[in-house]
This record gives sequence, C-alpha cells and structure tokens, in this order.
Amino acid sequence: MSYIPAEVLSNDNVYGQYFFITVRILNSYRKTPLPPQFAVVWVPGVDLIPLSYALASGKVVGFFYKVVGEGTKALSMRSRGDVIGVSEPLGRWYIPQGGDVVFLAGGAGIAPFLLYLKYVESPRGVWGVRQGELAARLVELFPKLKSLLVASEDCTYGLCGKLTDYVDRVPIGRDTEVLISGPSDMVREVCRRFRDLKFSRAYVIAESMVKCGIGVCGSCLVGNVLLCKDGPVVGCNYFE
Amino acid sequence: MGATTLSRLELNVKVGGLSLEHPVMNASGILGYLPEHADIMASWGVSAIVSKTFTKEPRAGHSPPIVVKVRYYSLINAVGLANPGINGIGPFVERAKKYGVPVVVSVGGGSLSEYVEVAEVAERYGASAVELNLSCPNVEQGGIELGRDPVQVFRVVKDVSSIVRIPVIVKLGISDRLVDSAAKAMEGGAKALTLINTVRGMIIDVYSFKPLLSNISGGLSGASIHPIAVWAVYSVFREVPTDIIGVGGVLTWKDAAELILAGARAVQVGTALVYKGPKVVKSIVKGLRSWVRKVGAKSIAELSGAAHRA
Repeated sequence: MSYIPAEVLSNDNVYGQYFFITVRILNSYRKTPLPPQFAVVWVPGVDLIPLSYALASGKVVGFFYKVVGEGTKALSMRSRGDVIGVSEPLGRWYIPQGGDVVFLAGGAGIAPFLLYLKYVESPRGVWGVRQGELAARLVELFPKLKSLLVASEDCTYGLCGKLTDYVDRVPIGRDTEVLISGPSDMVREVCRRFRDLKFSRAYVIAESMVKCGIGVCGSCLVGNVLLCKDGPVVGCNYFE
Repeated sequence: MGATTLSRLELNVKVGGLSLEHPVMNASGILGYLPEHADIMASWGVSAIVSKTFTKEPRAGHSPPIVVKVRYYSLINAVGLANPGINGIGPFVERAKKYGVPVVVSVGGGSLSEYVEVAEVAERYGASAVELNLSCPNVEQGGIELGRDPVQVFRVVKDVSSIVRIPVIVKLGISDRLVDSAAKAMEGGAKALTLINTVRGMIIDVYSFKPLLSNISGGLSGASIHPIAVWAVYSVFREVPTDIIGVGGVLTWKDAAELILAGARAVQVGTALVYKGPKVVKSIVKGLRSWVRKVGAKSIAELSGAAHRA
C-alpha cells in the first residue's frame, strides 16, 4: 500500500463518538473513488484504519467514522492543516445499474451509503442508530438520507427500536439487491434472516477486516475473497 | 515424443530434490498460511507452493502499517511473521497437496529446537520440502542474526536435516558472510539454497517525520533488490556450486533469466504478484520458454549458471 499525503480540511464531531473528516489529497488519485470502495487511512505513528469513502469530489474525499480505539481517537484529534496518509481507492466499486437496491445500515455502517447517495436517486432501506440525535445531525448534512427509514433505540428520531425490528417493512422483490453494512452482530442477524427467507441477493460491505490492503497478509480473507482486492462486497452467506 | 511434450520438458527443472514442471515458484510471504490461501496460490500457476513462514506458536505479527509500496516496483514490509503456529501447518499442506505440485513449508523459529519441531510437523503432514527461513529481518530472535552466523547456520541445518527425510532448503539473506553461510548450510545437509530474502530498509513520511511502518524498519523486496539478488546468486554459485532458488525482484522473464544465468535452477516471485497480478507467473513462464528457444538451448536446466561459463 502506498499512502498519499492528504491535508485535513475539516474534522467535525457529528454527534457523540461520530466524526466526519474531509481531506484534500495532495497528489492526484489515479481513479475517482466509487461506492463502496474504501481507503486505508494512516494516522502517522499511531495506526492504519480502513474506512469507506463517504465523500469523493475531485481531490477532496471524506470519511464518516466512529471513535472505537486508539487509531480513530487519534484521527478525531487531527485538525485543519494536519497531514495524514490516505491510500488509493481499494476494492471494487459496485453501483446497481437501474436495479432496485435496498440499504441496511447500523450506526457508522451508514458510511459507504453516503457516497451511494450521489448515484442512487431515491435510496430505500433502514438505518439503525442508538441515539436519534446522530441521525438528525447526519440527515442535515445529507438530506437524501430522509428517504431511508431511521430506527433509533432511544426513540428520539424516526421509528422506535432497532434496525432488525423494521427490516421486514422494506419491500424486497425478486430482483432487489440488498447491501448491508454495520456492526457484526447486526450483520449476522440480518444475514440469518435472509438465509431463512432463501433470499440470495443480500451482500455485506465488509472493509473493516483489511490490514495490509494489497493482498499480501491474507487477514481479510472471507471464503475465497480477499476483501482488500476483490471486496468489500461479499455474499451474506459468509456472515450467518 | 510429440512437440507438446518437448515444449513441456524444456522448462522442467530439478532443484533440491524437487521435480518442477517449470522454474517459477512463489516466494514465501504472500498469503500461505490458511487452506483457502492454498486455493488462491494454486491458481497463480506456480510450479511449487511455498507457505508463509510457520513458527511453533501463533504470532499476531506487527500492527499496521505492515507493508508499503515504494518506488520502482518494490515493497517494504514488516508483517512480523504473522502465522497461526504449528497447528496451521496440517490444514494448509493438506489443501495445497490437492493441486499436485510440490508443497514447501517455510519454517521459522526463535531457537534451534523450534526449527526442528516445526520441520517435523511439516514432514508429518506431507510437505515435499522445508525451507528454513534463517534470514527474516522482521523478528528479534533467530531470523537474520542466525543466517549471518555460519556456525549457527550449520547447527540448525544439521539438526533439522538429521531429523527430517524431506529435502531441507535454506533461505539466506544478504550479508558479508553469505558465501560462508551458504557453504555451511550445504555442509549441514541442505539440498538447496534460496537466495535472497528481503533487505532491511526504512521509509519516513516527510510531513509527519514518522516512519511509515509501525515496526520502523522492514524488508525491502522487488525490483530495488534485483541486482543484489543476481550478485548474491552469482557469488554463491561460484564458490558453492549447488542448487539455488533465486528470489528478489523477479517481475519479468528477463529477471528470472538473469538469476538462472547467475546460477539459479529455479526462481521465486513475490512482489511481482502484488504489482502485476497473478498472471505474472504464466507470463514469466511463457517468456522463459521463448528465451530457451531463442538462445538455442535444449532445456532451461542447461542455462543454469551459464554466465560463469561465458
């Protein structure tokens, strides 16, 4: 993996432990990031973090992330003018062409879908959050999120409850493709549900297992797919 | 004998007691410790599958960043010998054997007894050979220090060779005492040498002033070290004419041909798989076949070490 220096433009605390960082790539990307591609973000001297692109416009890219450990904590402390490292886009892009697609996101798992909003006119699906305030703040930044059902566990925004309480409310046809992103417990439960329904067009966006980013270390293997090269979209059947 | 058979035979080589359909194997370190990895590695078309280095105990390896692309088709890595330990050998070897090519288990250790123990397990599960990694620059004990000391090289190779019956290949890194270590490895019972391992290096981010790798330094591989590898193979072959597997910056058939002329009977590719993808193996094999015909040789084996006779 090579890291391209990137200057922090903004690093805003959206709500609680959730942040949105935008950076300007100091060199050029060879290819524009497309959903659900991801980058590995190097926080100098601290960690390397795989993050889905949530924004990509010219030399400016953005990532929505949750502080969960030392690496993301250090990232959250970077401010305008700091320089971090960002890889070229990793994985394969996938944009359903004219087909029906449903997004199911849990918490920070909404990140790849933020970039999808650029390409999908009226997204359908469910976004589950613990605190409704997070959804309220992000919807302000990305108004197209309003077309998703939002389920908040504290019952302060949208529907009251968990994502899994409302998955059945989203009409899914024979040709629908379902993309899932979120915490592993949520992903497993949703995938088990689709297995029980014998629905095979459900896929998981799984970038978080990536370590080296170039297919050397083998740590991101799911089935026979190396997520860093041929992911991050893999069949739900691997996560039941 | 038909033309197809002839064309196959011209690339057949024997190295360290292994019969290979062609001279291009993978270098240890790219995947190679899970059964599913063996499926991917077999699809590359290599003539032998070489595992990642196994140690007795599982190793988590270093924290990311563990590998960074650097200029001129090169990588610098400090994976830290991440592997599942001795219990991972069986599942990997058994899966890899299904593909009908020799399976070489790379063996690492922090002590002489650990090398022996890991090699024994590899043999028990049917490995075709073991490649003793005496030269990994990314571990504190064993590894590079061991490979630089000819006396230690002799001890570990002799210990392993006296216990296992499968061929013992010894992988050495570049050092001032490389030729001595190579000679001692053969004296200790090695059937072949793999030359060379990565070369220690480092890169620093000019904006943050921090080393890119979490381990600070790592092993440089790829085109940057190719001339060093050619020199190492040439130097060792001149003094210790034996079976050598050349490795270091093999990105094209010409790189492989250079190592063969310097004295290698086979080559390994690693970094090329990252930069050029899995098709690079077949491309190198195809190029070598054309080269053998172009220079009027009957087989690639007769070209091994030809630079010494020119």
